[in-house]
Amino acid sequence: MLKYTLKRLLQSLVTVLLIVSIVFLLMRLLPTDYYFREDELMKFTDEQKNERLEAEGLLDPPLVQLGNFFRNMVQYQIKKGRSYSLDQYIYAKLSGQGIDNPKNAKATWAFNLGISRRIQYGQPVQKVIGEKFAISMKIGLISLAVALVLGVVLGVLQARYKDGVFDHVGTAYTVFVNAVPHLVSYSLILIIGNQIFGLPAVYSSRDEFRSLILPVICLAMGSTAGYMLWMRRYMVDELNKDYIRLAKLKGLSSTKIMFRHVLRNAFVPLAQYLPYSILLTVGGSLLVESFFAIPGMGPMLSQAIPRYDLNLVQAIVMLYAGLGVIGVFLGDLLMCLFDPRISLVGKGEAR
Amino acid sequence: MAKENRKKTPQELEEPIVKLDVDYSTVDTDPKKERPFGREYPQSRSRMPEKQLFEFAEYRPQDAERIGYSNYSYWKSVLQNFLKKKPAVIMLCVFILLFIFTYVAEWISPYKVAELQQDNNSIFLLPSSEHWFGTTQAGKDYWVITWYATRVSIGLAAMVAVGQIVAGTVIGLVWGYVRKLDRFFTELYNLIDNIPTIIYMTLIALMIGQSVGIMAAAMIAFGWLGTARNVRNLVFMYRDREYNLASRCLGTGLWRILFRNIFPYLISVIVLRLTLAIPGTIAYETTLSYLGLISEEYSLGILLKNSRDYFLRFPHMLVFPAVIVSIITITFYLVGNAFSDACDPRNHV
Amino acid sequence: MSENSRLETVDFDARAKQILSQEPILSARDVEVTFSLRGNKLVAIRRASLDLYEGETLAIVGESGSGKSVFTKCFVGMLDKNGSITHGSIMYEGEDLTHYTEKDWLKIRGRKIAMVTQDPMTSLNPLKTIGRQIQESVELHQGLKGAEAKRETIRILEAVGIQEPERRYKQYPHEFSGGMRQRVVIAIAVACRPQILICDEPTTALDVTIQAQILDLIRRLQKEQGMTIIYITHDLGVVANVADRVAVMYAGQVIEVGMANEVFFDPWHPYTWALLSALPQLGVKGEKLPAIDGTPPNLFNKIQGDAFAPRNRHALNIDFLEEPPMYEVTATHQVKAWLRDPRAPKVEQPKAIMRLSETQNDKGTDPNAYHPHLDPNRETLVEVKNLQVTFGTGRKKFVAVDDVNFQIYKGETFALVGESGSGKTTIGRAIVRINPVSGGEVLFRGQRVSGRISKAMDTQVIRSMQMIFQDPMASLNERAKVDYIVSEGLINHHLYKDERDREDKVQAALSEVGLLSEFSSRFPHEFSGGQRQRIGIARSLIMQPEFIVADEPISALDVSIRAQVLNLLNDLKKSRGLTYLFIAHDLSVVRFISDRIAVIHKGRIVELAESEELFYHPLHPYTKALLSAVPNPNPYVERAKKLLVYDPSVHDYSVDKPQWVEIIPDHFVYGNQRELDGYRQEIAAKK
Repeated sequence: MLKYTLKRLLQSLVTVLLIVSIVFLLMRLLPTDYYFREDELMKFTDEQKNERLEAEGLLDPPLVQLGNFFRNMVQYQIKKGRSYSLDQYIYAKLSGQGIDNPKNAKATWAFNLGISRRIQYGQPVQKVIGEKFAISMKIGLISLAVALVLGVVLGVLQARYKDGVFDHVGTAYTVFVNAVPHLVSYSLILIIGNQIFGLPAVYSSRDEFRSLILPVICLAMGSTAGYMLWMRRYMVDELNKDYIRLAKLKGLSSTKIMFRHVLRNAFVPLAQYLPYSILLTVGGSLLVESFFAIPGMGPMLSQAIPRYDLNLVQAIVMLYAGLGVIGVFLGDLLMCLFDPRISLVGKGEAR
Repeated sequence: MAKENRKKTPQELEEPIVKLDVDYSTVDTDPKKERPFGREYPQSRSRMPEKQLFEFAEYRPQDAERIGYSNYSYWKSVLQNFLKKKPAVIMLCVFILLFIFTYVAEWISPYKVAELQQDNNSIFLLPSSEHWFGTTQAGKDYWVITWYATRVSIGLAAMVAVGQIVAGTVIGLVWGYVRKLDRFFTELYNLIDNIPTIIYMTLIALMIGQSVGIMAAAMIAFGWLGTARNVRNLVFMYRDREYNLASRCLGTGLWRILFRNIFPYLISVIVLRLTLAIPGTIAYETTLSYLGLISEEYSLGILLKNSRDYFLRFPHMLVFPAVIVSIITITFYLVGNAFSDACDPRNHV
Repeated sequence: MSENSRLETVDFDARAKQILSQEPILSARDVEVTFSLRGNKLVAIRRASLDLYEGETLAIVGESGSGKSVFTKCFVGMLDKNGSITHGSIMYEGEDLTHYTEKDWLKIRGRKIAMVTQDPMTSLNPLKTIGRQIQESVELHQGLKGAEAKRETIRILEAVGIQEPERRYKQYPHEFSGGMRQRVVIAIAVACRPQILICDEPTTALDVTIQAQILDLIRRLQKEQGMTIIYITHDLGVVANVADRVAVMYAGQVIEVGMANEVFFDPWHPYTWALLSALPQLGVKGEKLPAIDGTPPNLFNKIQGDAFAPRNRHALNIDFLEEPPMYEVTATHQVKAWLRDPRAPKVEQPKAIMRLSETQNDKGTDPNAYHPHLDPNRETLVEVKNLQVTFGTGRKKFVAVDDVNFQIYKGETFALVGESGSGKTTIGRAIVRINPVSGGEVLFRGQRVSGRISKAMDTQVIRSMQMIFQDPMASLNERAKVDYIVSEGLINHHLYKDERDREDKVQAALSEVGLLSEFSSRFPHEFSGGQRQRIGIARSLIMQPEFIVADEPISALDVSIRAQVLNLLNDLKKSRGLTYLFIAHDLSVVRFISDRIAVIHKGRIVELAESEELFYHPLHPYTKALLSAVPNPNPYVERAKKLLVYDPSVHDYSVDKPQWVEIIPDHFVYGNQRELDGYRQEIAAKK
């Protein structure tokens, strides 16, 4: 089990690194103008530009830049002093040179993903993202909790009373949510929430609670429908299986069959996608956040792209890739915990 | 009479005993040979005297062969089942009318899309007999814009959906059938699928461009994944069925096995995915437009995006495109699901 | 150890008396079950009646679609949603079960009437431990709780023959083999000590040796718990093994019912005759089997008269007009056939039925029959040398077939017999190049055809070696017309001059397998299993092969259809001089059709001999076990037989390595020196 976990983790890491590398190299294909602020572009001469680029190593061959990027990803930073990359730090320690920290200033290990050049000039990217990530996570987690509870419960009820009124209403809801573009349904919620209940149409930090109600509803609405749909489908699938017939032949009532047999078996396939969807929701819904002007990850991406804040885009991609890969990995692990048939050790079936 | 027969062996009975054994090596069982209807033809039996009723009838092998047929036809059942889903059928008719109307609309209107001009005197007019859907923030006629955008969006959606499904099906077939390529495609799939597609779209918009054509190509390039995986899993189901082994025994080539033996079994799934890809693409287009990744003058997504800032005061900006978008997407969603239900042999009851 | 040596009489007369003296505990009268299917009405059970007596084992026999399963589902209220009982009554404990609601059923189901279902692989919840699943039943019906219930569960596990019950209690279904899972399903059914146990083909999915063990288990549990058993099966050998009484069903009706000896030795319905005489066990080698033409009727159509009439070679005119009433042959034996009417001609049963009552189940063979392997000029057509086939790679590598050697001579039928998973199909597929070979080689006419071969050679192999598949439902492409299916090989290799020529060839192939020419424009789903299997044969024949691998060609077919296909294979062998590799799990079929038999166990051939030699002088303990488990359609013989269980641990191959040795001419066996000496003594003693 442990061996498998480590192997998968390593694989995931490779995947992330691969994606990051590809993205990084692709970015280098863009004109170098994007490394400057808009105002700098106006006033800098070509020579000045070249100097800057030279100094930051941006004129090196792309592969060298990639190497540097990975080297400098983790840094030992001394406050108001120099920063060491991991290899420099180790070299300094081993060679006896020691760390250059004359004033004994505070020093920390930190991620370094470059600086934002356009959105928040001069700020390290991870700091820019960090602030936004917190709020995205908050909305994401709340809406996910709501969606999961509602979706699973409603889906189970739908399957239990299959072909009844409730089932049809539930199906109509899932059809509506899945079929109508989110932009339209969000608009609908916004109109109803704003005109009838007087809730704020955009996010404001002064009235955080009330202004978050609509975004959470919007986010939860979609995933609730998803969980409902799949829960119902898996339950119905399970109900048609042979072992349910045997359970019925044992003399179990249909309620007991539902709770003792169907529920858990139907939840297993759902469980596999749970971590993935949690992580993605946490990452922030681009659309909802843009729509309600929430200062989360969502709008940041849509701002960073048209303004070509390359480091920021790159970091966001990395974050999403990481979240996605970890989500898939956790899902597989969860699946193993639930389903005894899946053995990660790969021993094959015992007879 | 039953009691009478009890304990008596056939030998004890007085009447001559008929030996029933048939020499099977001489029986003419050639079903092709036509035999004239004799006196035993069933309909004539009802007029037989009782004595004749209890005589042996002539044995006709064709009759024996004939009785087992089933008159079941898969596609006929699919069609019958589909037509039973009234909402889907009605919506489909509505959609067809709507699509035709996108061409009629501009023709019956005094305004033409190509001739629209910025007009600061008529911004945000509410619907009236002059401007049937009102006007935009630039004072342009919203009726012709909306219908034109509808046509653009439907065209885009159809193109992307067909592209995704064709690419997905071909890749899925090869992925599923050729064992050596399974690993490669699986890794490729994981690599792409682990990351939300929006990221790729972002990168493409950033690096290549934001025109509709590029975005459509990008949507196809990343949209085949789902179909391909679905197809691949289905191919796995059929790949080692005996009829495919039989074809391999007969030396049938790869592409003919894929397209004659496997593809026909997947048609229902492919049609389902195609119908669902259309609303999916339209919804995706609105999202991309909203995030500013598509630069196009008019499409339903763009109209919805533009309406965001005004619809609380000028609801007509939202209502018309939103209703049309919803009709299209709900139609295809319902049709797709109704079709997939109709294709499930378990529902052919 | 010969199965025929010790005859023990089962006293059916005494049982008959016992039955006549009591009232039935369950009585179904004129039950009609209707399903609505695609807007049509299908009458699956057409006013069938049946009585069940305390303590007996009643077997219901019939082909697929005869309604045997649907009929018994009515006794536990488990009809599918689209079916309903539209007429008749089922009386049990003074109440009519046909009026029961789902709530009423909870009182009966499991507690009084339990059921063992067909497929043990899918009948257990994969996510719950075996113990929990049985305990659920114990808690529900015996009122036990906690540790007490667990103790009872473990006791039951032990009772159904599961070793180390404490450890097994905590395991999941996937850790059990098919036979073990069926024991668990039986445990669940008997945990509540039901009065009636319905077994719905409980052994159909299992191997013969496992089947014999499960039948023994059911019999033992019946004795211990005094249950009444309804046993549903299509296999007459199983019926002979278990049944006190037999009911034969055809097209939704019980057409003959009686004590087992009456139905087997003195049947009076032409369908029962046909069913019994079509058994390959009763056939004479080299002669045609008395096959039943056609297929069972389509129940969507209204049936006039006797449903069997169109297929009945002994039908009276009235059979086409009026449904016959039940005639009483004896107090316990009733039959629904006009032949029993006093006005009908007096007849004698067919010869094959008479043959069955001769207790020696030895039909003898034609002494003049030609055996290709005895021909001094015999020609080796196919040779398999040290064949090894593996699946998977690395740690998951699995050796399916190892070190297999045999020769197939031109013109013979060579049979390969083994249980599921033994590797027999793998060998067949390796020969026709579907499965790659990982070791050894396959020679065809002395040329290597395994591994990497030239394109021309590949084409030649395809043209001269063809395969017939097991499952007629899966072996035809449902989405292509018969015309394409049959001519696929021609198209691949352009073996026709023009379109006209191709069509002619298709027609010729169809007529050769006894199908109508109009069939070529139809789709496979319009055909019955037997017809589909013949289409599959036509598809291989069109390549004009010399050698055909027949992979269990009849095991998925109904009993009445099997004889058609066996006859066809034998005819083709004669008319075309074909050579067969016949793969099967059923020794009785193999004995009828083949010249030589190889027995395979876990990927290794353990014994190979001329077929009669193998039946009379089996040497390897596995062959003996397999032979002892073969069901015999004579109830007296079947019930007296002694079951041998093969235990692979009797072989000690640690020091003394086993070899593949021709112990006497044409009789090969696998064993080490010590075992071979034992076998030699055995042969000497017999002679």
